[in-house]
Amino acid sequence: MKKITSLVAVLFCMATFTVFGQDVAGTVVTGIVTDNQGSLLPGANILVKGTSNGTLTDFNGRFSVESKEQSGTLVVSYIGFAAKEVQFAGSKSVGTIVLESDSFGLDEVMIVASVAVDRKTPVAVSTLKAEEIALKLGTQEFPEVLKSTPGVYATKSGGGFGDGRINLRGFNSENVAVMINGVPINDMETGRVFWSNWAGLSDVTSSMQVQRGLGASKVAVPSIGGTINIVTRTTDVEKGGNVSMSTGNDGYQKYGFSLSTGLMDNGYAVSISGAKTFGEGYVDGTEFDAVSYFVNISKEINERHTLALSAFGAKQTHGQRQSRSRIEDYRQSERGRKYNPDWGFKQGQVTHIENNEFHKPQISLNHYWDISDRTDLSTAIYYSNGSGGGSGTGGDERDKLTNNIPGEDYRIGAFGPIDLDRIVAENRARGANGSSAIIRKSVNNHNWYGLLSTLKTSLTDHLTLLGGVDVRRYRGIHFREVSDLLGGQYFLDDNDVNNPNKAARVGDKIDFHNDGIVNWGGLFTQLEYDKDNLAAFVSVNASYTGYKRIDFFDKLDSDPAQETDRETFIGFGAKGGANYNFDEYQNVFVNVGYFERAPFFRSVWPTFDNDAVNAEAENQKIFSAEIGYGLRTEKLAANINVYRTEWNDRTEVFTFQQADGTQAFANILGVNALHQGVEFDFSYKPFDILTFTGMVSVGDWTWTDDIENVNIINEEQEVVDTVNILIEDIPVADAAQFTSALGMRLEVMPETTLTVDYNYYDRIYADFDPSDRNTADALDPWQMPSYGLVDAALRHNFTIGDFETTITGRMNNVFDTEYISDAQDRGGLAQDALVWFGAGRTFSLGAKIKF
Amino acid sequence: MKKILYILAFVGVAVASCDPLEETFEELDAISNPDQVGEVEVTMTDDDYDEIDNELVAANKGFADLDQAKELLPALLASKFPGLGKQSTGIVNYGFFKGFPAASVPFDENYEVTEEDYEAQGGNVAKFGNFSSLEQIVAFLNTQFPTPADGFLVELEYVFFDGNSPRDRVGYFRYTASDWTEESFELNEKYTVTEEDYEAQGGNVANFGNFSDQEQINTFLNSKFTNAVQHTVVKLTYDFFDGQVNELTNVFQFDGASTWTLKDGALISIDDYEAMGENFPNFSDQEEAENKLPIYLKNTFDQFAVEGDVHEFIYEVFNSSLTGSNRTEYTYVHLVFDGSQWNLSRDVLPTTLSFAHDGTKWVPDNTVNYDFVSADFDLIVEELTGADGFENQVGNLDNFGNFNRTGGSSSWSDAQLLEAINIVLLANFPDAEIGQKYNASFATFNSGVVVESKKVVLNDSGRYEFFDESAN
Repeated sequence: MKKITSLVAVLFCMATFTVFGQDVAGTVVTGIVTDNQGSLLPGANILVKGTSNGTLTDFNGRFSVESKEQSGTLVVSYIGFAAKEVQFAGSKSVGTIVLESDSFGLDEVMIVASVAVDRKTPVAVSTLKAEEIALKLGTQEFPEVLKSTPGVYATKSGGGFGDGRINLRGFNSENVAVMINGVPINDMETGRVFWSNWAGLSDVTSSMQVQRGLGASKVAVPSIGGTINIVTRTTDVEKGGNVSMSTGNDGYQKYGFSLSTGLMDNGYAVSISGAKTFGEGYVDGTEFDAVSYFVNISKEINERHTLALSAFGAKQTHGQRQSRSRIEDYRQSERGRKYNPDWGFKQGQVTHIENNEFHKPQISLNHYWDISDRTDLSTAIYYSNGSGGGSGTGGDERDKLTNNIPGEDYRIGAFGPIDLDRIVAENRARGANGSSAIIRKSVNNHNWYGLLSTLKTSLTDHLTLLGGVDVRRYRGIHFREVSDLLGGQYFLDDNDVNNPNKAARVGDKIDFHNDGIVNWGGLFTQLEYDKDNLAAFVSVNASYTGYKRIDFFDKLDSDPAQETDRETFIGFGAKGGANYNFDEYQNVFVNVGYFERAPFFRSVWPTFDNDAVNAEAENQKIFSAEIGYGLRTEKLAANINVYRTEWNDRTEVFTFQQADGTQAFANILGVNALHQGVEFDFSYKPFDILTFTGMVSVGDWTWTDDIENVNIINEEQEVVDTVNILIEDIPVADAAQFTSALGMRLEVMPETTLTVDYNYYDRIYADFDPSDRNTADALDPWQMPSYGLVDAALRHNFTIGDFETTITGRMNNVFDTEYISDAQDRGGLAQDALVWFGAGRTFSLGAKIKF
Repeated sequence: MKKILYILAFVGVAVASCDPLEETFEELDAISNPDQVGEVEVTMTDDDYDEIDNELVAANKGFADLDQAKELLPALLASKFPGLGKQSTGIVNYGFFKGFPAASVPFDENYEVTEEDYEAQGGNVAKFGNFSSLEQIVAFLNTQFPTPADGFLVELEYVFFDGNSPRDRVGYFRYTASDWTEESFELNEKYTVTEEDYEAQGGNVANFGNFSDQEQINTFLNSKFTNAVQHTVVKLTYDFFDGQVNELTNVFQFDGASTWTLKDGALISIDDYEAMGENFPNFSDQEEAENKLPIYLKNTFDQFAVEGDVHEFIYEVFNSSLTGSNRTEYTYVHLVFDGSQWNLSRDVLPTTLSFAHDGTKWVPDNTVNYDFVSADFDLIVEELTGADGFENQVGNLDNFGNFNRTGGSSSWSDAQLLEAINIVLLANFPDAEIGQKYNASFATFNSGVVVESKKVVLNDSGRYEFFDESAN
C-alpha cells in the first residue's frame, strides 16, 4: 500500500509541471532521423540554421519543426554523431536523415558487438548513452548506473572501490555475459566479472546496452540472465580534447584529460585519455587510488580497410570490506554503516587487512574490411594481462587479525580497528619461530589472448548470413605470497613439496601455486531475415573448452603429473527470434533458445588436487523463451515483455573417499531454478524539456526441485552417503525480485538539466548456498527489508571564453536512507544474518572544460 | 510557481523513501538484549571488607571459612558491578582470617538502658537512676521485652549500685520459661589447674595428679568452664605427663559445642614480651602487636624458616576499660614467611573463588573456562579419524583448524561437537570430579570464523554432557 501511495504521490507531483510552448506560424518541415544501422534516433536535435528555432525528434525518430521562411537549412545533430545539414523547401518531409557516428569504426564495432537495433532485433533491450553515464554515474560503481533498467539489481557489495556487483534477472555475473566491444570478459575459470579490473571503463564507454535474456550475441556466451554490452569510444573524428576534475564525499578526487588529434592528413587519428581517481571511501578502511588510461589509434588504410588499435586499463589499489557483520554489530559500533572489521592501525597508519590491487590492460587490434558491397569482415585480435590480487590473513594464529581468539581482544575498543601493533609485538616475541599471523596476498595473475572474427554477407536483399570464429587461450597464475610479516622474522610454510619448510619472507610464495590453462574455441553462425515488417534470425553456436591444471606446490617439479591432461568439454546452443512491426507505432517480438554450457574449472578439480579429476562434470542446461511488445508514439515509448528461463543442473559435485583412500566425485543432477517474470518500461515526453521514465520489473524466481535421498555409491557398489538438497519453492536470493523506478529529466533552463530518480527494491532474500540446505525443517532465507532510494543530478553548460564548460553535481541517496543491500542468510532470522549496509548520502561535483 | 511545484515534488518523493529498517530495528530490540556481559576480578582491600555485611569479617579483614565467603561475596560483587548481568563471571581474591576470632557472647539483642528508662520504672530506680537489685532489672526487662522468645538472651548495658558506688556494667539476661535469669560467660580466661581439680576429675588424672592426653584436658575444661561460648579461649597452666611430667602453659579454644582445641606454639612467654620491649606480658593494642611480632619472629624464632612457613600466635592486648583481675583480651595472629620476612596472613593468603551471574544474582561457580588450542584440534583429528559418520568432519577440521557449522556435508552437529569436547576435556583434565563444569570455547566456521562456547558438566558415567543453564 505504501508503495502505491508513494508512486502516485511522485507521479502527481511530477505531472503538475507546466511549460508554455511556442506559438509561431510559417512553414512546417518534417522528417525522420536514424543512425547508420537504421535505428531511429529519438532526442536528436533539429535546428533551423541561423535561428533559434529548434525541436527534438520523438520516440519514432520523427520531428516537425516550424520555420518562418519557406526554405532554408536544417542542422541535425546528436551526441556521438557527426552533425548533418539538410536543405528544405516548403512544408513537406525531407525524408530520412541518416547520421554517421563521429568516431571511427564505431559502426563496425556495433556489429561485432551485436548491438541491438530498436524494432528489429527481437530482444528486450535498454541502452545507456555516454552522456547519461557522465551525468548520473558520479562516484557510484559502474554497474550501478544500470539501476533503472528492468531486471537489474546492482549494489556496492562491501563498498570498496570497484567491488560492486550486478545481478540480472536474479542471476549473478557467472550467468551474465559482459562484453567489451564484442569480446566477452567473464573470467575464464570462474565465469565472474570483477569490476575493479575495469576501473577506468566509465570514462571510455560510448554506450552500454543491456540485452536481457538470451540476447543478440552471436558468440557463445553465458547469457542466461542477459548480456551487458559495453562499447567503448574509438577515435574521435574531430580534433580537440578536454580536462576534467571532480571532488566528492570522503575525499574523493578525480582529475582527467582527453585529447584527440582528429583525422590527420596521413590517415591516422589518435585519441588518448587518462584519469587519476583517489579518495578515502565511504566505508572505513576503503581508501583507494586508481590511474586509468585509454589509447586508441585508428588508421583508415583505404576505403575498404580500417585498422584500430586500442589499449585501456586501470591500475588500482583499494582497501576492502570483505567481512559482513550482523545488524546489531553495525548498530553498536560507533561507525554505524561505515563499520568495517577488515582494517587496523599499524604505527598510527591505517593498514588494510583486506585489500585488492589489480592492473588489467586490455589491448585489441580491430580490423574492418569492406570486402565488397555485400560482405564485410570484422576481426579483433586482443590480449589482456591481469596482475594483482587480494590480501587476506594467514598463519596458524590468523584469527588474531579477525579478533576471533577466544578470551582475547585484538581490537582497539569495541568494534574498533585491529591492534596490529600488538600482533607485531607478539610476532616479534616469537623470535626464531617466525610469525604466526601475517597478511598474505592471493595473487591471480592471468593473461589471455584471442581472436574474434565475424564475416557478414548479404545473401539476398533480405537475407544476411553471419558466421565466425572465436578462439582464446588463457593462463591463470594463482598463488599466495607473504605481503606483510607483521613483525616476525619469517613465515614458516610447508606446503611446497619442492621447497619444504620454507622460511618465507615478503614476496615469497606460500600455501599454493598453481596455473589454470583454458583453451577455448567457438564457432557460430547466424542467419537474419529482414523484409518489410518482419525481421527474424536463427543462430547456432558450438564451443570447445579445454582445461589443464599445473600444480607447482603439490607436485614435485620432476613429476610429469605436475601438469594434468587436458579435460575437454563441449557446449552448444541454438536460438531464434522474430520481430514484427504492426505499424510505425507497435511491434511485437519473440525469442527462444536452448544452450548447454561447459562446467567451470572448479568443478573439474573440486579439491584442488591434480589427481582427483572430475572428468564427468556435467554441462548446465538453459532454456529460455521470451515475448515482448513495444509502443512508439510521438511522446511515449513503452515496452513490456514476459520471459521464462529454466536453468537446469546447476553444478553440484559431491566429494567422497573410496576404500583405497582416493577421492572420487559424484555429479548430482537436478538442482534446477526457474526465473520468470514481467518487465515493463516507458519513456514519456509531454514537452520537449521534460521526460519521465519508469519501469516495473516483477520476477518470480525460485528453485524448483528437491533432491532427495540420492545415494552415492562407490566402486564396491556400497552406499557411501545420501545426498539431500531440499530447495523446492525456495526463492532465489541475493537480488530484488521486484524492482521499480521512476525518473524525471527536466531542462530547467536551456543549458541546465535536472534529473531526479527514484528506485524501489522489494522481495530480496538473504543469500544462501542451495547445496547447504539438507534439513527439511529449515526456515526460508530471511527476507530483507525493501527500500527506496532517491538520486539527483544537475548539469549546467556554459562557456568560458571559447571553451565549452560543463559543471555537473550529483547526489545519490539524497535522503540518506539507511538500508541493507547485501545479506547472507544464517538460519533465516534477521538477528543472525550477515549483512552489508548500503551507502548513505554521497555526492560529487565536477567540471569539464572542452577545447 | 515553479518553485512550489519543485518543493512538492521533493516532498512527494520524500514520503516515498522513509525508513526501511525501522521494523527490523524494532524486531531486533524486542529480542531481549542481554545484559552487559563481563569478566571481572576483585582483590579484596580493607575497604572491600568493610562493605561485607558481617561485623566480624569487616573487623578481621578476612573470612572465617569458604562457606562464609561463598555466602557473603555475591552481595559485594553485585554492589561493585551493578551493570553486569547473566553469564558474567567474576573472580574474587580474598583472605581468610585464619584461626579463631575473638569469642563473643551470642546474645540476641543488645540494649543500653537510658535515663528515661530508669525514670519510667519509678520508685528507687527512677530516684537514683540505676538498678540495685536483680528484681529491679528483671522488672525492667519485662517492660522492655514484653514477649520474648524462649531462650532470648539480652546483653544489657546499665548502671548498677553495688552498695558502694554506681558502676557501669554489662550483663547478660536470658528469658527461660517465663523467667529472666542472669548468665555469665567465660570468654577468655587464665587458669592454673589445682590439686583439687585433678582429684575432682577422678580416674588416672586423680591418681597421678596430671593430664596425659588431650581428652582428659578436654573433659576438665568442659567441667570447669561451663559458661564458655564459641571461640572462648583459656590459657591453662597444668602438669602434663608424656614420659616425664612438665608444667605447660597452653592456650585452648572452645568450639562452642564440646571440644577444646590446643593452639600449639601460640603463646608468647613473658620473656618474649620483655624482649619486645614490653614491661608487662601484653601489648597495648593490636596495631603494636602486629608491628612487633613479625620482626620479633624473624629475629628470634625461626632462623631456618622457609617460604610458606606458618606461625600462629595468641597474644594479649591490654584493655583499660576492663575491670577485675583479667584486664587483657586475647587476640590471634597468623603469620606467614615469604622467604625474607613474616607477614600477616590476611595480607598474603589470597584464596580465589569464582562466581558467575545467573541472571538474577552472583552464585559461586566452579565452572572452568577452557579455550581449545591447536593441540586439542590435533587430538580430535587423531581420535576421530576413521570414526563412523565423522569422515567429512575430520577432514575439514584437519584442513581448517575449526569446526564447520554451516550445515553442509562437513558440518559438525551438536552431538558430534559433544564427542569432540569429551575427547579434549577427558584428556586435559583426567582428575575432574563428577559435577565439574567446563565452558569450552573453540573456533568454528559459519560464514566466517566465529568463536562458539558450550557449557558441559561431568556426569555420573564419567562423560561430559551439555549443561543447560536455564534449568538452574
